[in-house]
Amino acid sequence: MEKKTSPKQKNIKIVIGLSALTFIFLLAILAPFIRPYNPMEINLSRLLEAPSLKHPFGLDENGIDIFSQILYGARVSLLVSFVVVFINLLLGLILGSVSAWFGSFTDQVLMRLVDMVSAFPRFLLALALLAMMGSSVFNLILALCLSGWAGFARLVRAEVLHLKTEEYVLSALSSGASAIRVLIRHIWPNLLGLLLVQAAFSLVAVVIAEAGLSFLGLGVPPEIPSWGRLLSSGRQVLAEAPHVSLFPGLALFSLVLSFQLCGDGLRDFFDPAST
Amino acid sequence: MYRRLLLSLLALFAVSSFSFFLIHLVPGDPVDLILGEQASALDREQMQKNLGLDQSLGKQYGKFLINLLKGNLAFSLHSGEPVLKMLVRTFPATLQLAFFSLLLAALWGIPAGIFSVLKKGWWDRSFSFFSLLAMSLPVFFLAPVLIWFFALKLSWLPVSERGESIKYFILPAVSLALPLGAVLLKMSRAALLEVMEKDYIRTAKAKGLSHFETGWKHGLKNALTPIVTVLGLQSGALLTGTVIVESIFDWPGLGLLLLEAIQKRDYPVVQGAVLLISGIYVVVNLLVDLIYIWIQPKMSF
Repeated sequence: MEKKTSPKQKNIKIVIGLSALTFIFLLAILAPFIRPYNPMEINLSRLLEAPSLKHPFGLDENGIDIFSQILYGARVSLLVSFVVVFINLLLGLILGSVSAWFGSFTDQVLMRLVDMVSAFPRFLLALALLAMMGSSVFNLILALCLSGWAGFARLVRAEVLHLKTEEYVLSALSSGASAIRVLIRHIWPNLLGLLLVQAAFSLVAVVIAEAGLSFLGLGVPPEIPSWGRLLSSGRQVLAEAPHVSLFPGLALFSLVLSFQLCGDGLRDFFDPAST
Repeated sequence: MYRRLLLSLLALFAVSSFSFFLIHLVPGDPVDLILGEQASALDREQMQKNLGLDQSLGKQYGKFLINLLKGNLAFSLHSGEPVLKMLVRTFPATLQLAFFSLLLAALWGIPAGIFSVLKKGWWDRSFSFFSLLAMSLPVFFLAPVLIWFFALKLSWLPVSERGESIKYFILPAVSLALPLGAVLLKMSRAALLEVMEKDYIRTAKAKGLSHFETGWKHGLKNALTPIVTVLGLQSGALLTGTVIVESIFDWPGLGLLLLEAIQKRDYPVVQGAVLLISGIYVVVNLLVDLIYIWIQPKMSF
């Protein structure tokens, strides 16, 4: 096999991915302190002004500073993607474990449910729900949580089924430990790597879905600055003001890329064979 | 295999039930939302009848399913046109776009993935790097960039709308095919790499064949199954990608129909479009699994 990358080379992806992510996180948290302008302040005399020293990313169609909006937009993107992936992970972990541990009827029912949920195209499911329920950050999170857990559940189930027969698990059980204790103490810690990798790739999917739904006007409501909404107003003024599309697009691209790098790096780290 | 078919039927049932209950997720009275609060009692009653809201939920649901089996969908609230007719009219545009994009993606992604494994080294690294970048490009960012450069700056290609000439296909299809091809690259590379570790490859190498030759003559054939599977699975995902692309390029397909219906609160059309797109998704996934069983009879479900 030629895949003999040195450990150092492997970690480079995680290092770059995590540093970029930390940087974006800091910008989002510190947004109120570093923003040069109020992201709500409308300036009708200077619509669509091109980037300048005062406004590094220019102004949008309402004369609002784009740089400030991008800083705030990071908050929504990070909030939605992490909350959604966290909930999906937790649901998948619990349902997958229950399914594998109890087997028989419970397993059958849960797995058919997983199959059913996976039969829906995820993005369309969220889109349809939001179109009906109306757009709000809460509804957005709810809509994206509805299907994402199925992948986690399937993964966890397969792994728990396998670990269930390990000797250390059997010996813990025979020495009187309860099922819940065995799951928490002996099985879940072994799932960490697998779940982290899956979580990173889910973050990629969710952050793109969130921005895509906001781009279509169905995700984050227009009064909250978001990258998707900026991109959608940029689309209308592409000829006169390409900067309105460019900068939020680059912001989204860097966030997606850093999730992607974290995922690739984590997988190389936890499961070198599959690269 | 029967289990697999049964599963698809179950999924189709779930999809249609979902699209039925969608309309009941609308907060408040849908009739108020459509007609406004000032509507006359007569109008309201008629609308309620049209939507079937005057009956009990169970009855409505049963009627919906029976109508669905007969191929009857509701009527558009705006134009009064049968929803089915609207779907039939817009579907070919989406199908053409999806097919063309998938073809384009497969044409660059799969050879690039195979080439990465056969050539190794520098080629492999640059392709991997490129695919990483391409996969991180959301279509609603890539498409505006392409439009700006190729349509507005260079004026080589039309901005939007749809015409007979292939020129109209290029920008929307490339926007979809670039990230999709990157996924195919990654997957076909992984599939071939896995095969290259097998014993028979080692035997072939021991007989003196070069890495390139073994991969080309013995590896590729065996990596085709997983590659075909990925291609099929991605074509399902492609259908949802077309929704966004159609909105960007004013492409008169299912996606645009769906989005316009959402804006106009034309719920029966939304229902129909969601039903059709998810239905196709279920069927495509079924076909992929069947092809998989067909190429690899060892597998069953």
